[in-house]
Amino acid sequence: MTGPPLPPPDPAPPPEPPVTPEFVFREYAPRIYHIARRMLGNDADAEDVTQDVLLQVIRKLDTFRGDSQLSTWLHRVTVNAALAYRQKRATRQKRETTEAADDVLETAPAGGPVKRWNVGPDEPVLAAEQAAVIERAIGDLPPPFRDIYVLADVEGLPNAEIAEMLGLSLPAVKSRLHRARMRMRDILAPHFEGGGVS
Amino acid sequence: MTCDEFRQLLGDHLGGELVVEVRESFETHRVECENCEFYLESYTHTVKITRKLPKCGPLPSAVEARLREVLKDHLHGSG
Repeated sequence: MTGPPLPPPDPAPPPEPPVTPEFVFREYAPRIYHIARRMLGNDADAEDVTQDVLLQVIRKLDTFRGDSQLSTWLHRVTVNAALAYRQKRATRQKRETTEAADDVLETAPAGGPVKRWNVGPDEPVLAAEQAAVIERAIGDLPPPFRDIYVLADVEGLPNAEIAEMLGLSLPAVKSRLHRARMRMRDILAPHFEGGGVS
Repeated sequence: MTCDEFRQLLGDHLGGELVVEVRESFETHRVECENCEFYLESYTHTVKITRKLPKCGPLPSAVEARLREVLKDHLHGSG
């Protein structure tokens, strides 16, 4: 009377979790805070920016269809908020140092002797003291270079996306990234030449 | 190729963007110049270890507490 049972239909993909303000806080506040802290080099400023970004996001939650769309947008909002915060602070303190540094970043001249680094075996995870040395070195980069270094080499964003985010040409991003990497190399060199991180 | 020209190409080298003719000159210089070979190694290692930094970690507990206090109306008001 009845044929063999039909195979069950393909299961529907699991629904994305509901994007509530609490979800946004739990999932994204740490990420926002750490991007802002690396860009601004200051815990208190990063906290202000995180608060500002969370407020922006929570107020616009209705306009997002899901977590994936929100994640993309958050990067951009965080970067914009950090840049705006820095600009406001610079204006308040009447400092124009970041503009003056836009195209100047001294690195060790080519032609001199270069020591080989003693880097040891390739470990998948950085030792805590290595991570601390790198974080300090990033903090020593002038802001226009630090922004690009953080977005490219820490966050792993493509150069084209960074250019769009920061309102720069692609060649400008590539040039600043290269100079930031050379400066980072110079800052890290004393820690890695000869005996590894010290 | 000079050492300075070699250094200017490191970013493109790392991104695999050197055109064939330039790549040949780059590799020739690299083989002939120990300083540039060491510089390339250290430049590449700098990028490699930076990429291993954790992108994120937990919020410091004091920061989380202050943010939750400031945002409490928004966190509990809807959803």
